[in-house]
Amino acid sequence: MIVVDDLVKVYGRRRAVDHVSFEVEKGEIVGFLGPNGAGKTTTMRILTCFLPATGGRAQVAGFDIVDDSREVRRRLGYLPENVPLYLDLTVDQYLTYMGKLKGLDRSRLQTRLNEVVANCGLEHRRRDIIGKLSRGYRQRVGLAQALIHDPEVVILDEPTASLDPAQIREVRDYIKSLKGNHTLILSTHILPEVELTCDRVLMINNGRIVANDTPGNLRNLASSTQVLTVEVRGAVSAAQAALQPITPITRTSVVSDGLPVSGGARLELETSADVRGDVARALVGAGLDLLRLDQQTKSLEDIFVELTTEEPAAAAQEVA
Amino acid sequence: MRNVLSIARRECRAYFTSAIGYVVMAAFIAFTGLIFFLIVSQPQAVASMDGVFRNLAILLVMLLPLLTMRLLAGERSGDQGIGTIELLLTSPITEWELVLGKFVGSLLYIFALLAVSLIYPFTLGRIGDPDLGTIFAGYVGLLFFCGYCLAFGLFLSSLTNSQIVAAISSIVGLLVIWLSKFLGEVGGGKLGWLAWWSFMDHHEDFWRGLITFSDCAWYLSFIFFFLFAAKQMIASSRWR
Repeated sequence: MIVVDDLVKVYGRRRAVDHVSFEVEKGEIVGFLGPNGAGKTTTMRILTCFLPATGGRAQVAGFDIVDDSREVRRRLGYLPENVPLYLDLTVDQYLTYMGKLKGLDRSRLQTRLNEVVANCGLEHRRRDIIGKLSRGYRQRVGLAQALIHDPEVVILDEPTASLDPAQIREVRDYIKSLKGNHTLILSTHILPEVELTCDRVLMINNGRIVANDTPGNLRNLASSTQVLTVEVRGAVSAAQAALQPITPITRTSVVSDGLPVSGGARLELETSADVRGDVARALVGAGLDLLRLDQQTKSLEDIFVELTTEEPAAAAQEVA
Repeated sequence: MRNVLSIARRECRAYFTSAIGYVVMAAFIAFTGLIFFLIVSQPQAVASMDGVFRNLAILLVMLLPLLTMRLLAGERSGDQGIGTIELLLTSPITEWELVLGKFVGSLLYIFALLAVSLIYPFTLGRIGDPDLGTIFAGYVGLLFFCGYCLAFGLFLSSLTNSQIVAAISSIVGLLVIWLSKFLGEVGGGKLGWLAWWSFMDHHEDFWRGLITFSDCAWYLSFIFFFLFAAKQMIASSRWR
């Protein structure tokens, strides 16, 4: 339904979107996940024909975003991040205006208006001036606007930003109810949101896709990695040497040498299996005092942080 | 066409849901009412609208940019909301439909404004014997003149994110265009061509009761040019 091929967007000297390619199947809900400034909004703006891409091509619902921009826009519902609304209109007036601009005829507009107003929980606010509505209701009006013409593709830029937890749950449930009939892309920097609503996650950082998988697979990837926190008293080099032969350990890092009270050192080990016994034996066998041994499972959050913070370092190395 | 009307209706209505529409209308009525009274209360007054039309131009040059400043600049940042241009440009409407809708919307408001001013010729008809043909031509000229100012203001509104900048630059721009007539007269032969570029020469014919093809064509081509320029400005945001 959405095919993005080698998309590039350059602002001055900064690459906001850096050779991004991905596909979204019909009926799928895909989450764009990334820190602020990662290129999520820019990518969405290109797909909605608001911004031109510097390079690359994209198709939405089978139409090219440059050559058949109007056909794309006809099939697209979009909720921008800042939720643009006409504050001087009532909810009904606003939705009617947007529906007309999206090409709905009078009778269809009336039925759709009643549907989205009901679905977005706006029945009691239809005659209210939008400028007098709370942030949560404005968000719902924005969502209703994106869906008024029953579009094939829906693009939502941070649809749950600045809502309270109860409102977030409502919006999330509504987004889930769109599944199947609509192809959906939503962006967020809130992890649980992706896990709860999306079929697939595209992690974006510095304009590049750093992961493209189901939340389940990413979670498996996460849970297959354990983090062991070890505190020992004695020479750190001796500890590192003792741990060397234990193969499941993929990474060893010294967090601090010379802890305040015990005077020991804290190490963090990443392992792909439970090696607590081996680690304990090896350290004690090397004549070190084992003060602490603590195992944690990596969360999706850790993976996210890892993917989005290590990338600049790796990129810098590439350049060097 | 449907989209043009939808946008025009929304724009025209927006003037009446915000203070600006009422302020401009109040200023218009107060100013024209005063001028009209001063003219007809003179001892040897003539039953004509000439004096009103003549003085109205300066007021409209000041007022109309206040109507057009929000049309496009206000969609980017304004009291109706922020970034609503994003909604318009991601809707399946063409740039022409957007610009024409905005223009027609503000023109509809002008119709309302000029309709109110019909009270003056009506009053003249009761107390004297005015030349209705001349008055009709004056109103046609006024419509063209307003169309010119609105299209010019709309174009400048497409250039900036700031309504204030759009308003001030439109007022200054229109005044310069106006004064180029006098520059042409003072400069004589070498600068004489400047007078043609000013709307005042073309506007004056209408007050005298002349509706000429060349004046109409002059106004229509400039209106088209400004609207086209505004359309290109909006479209350029999508150019690679």
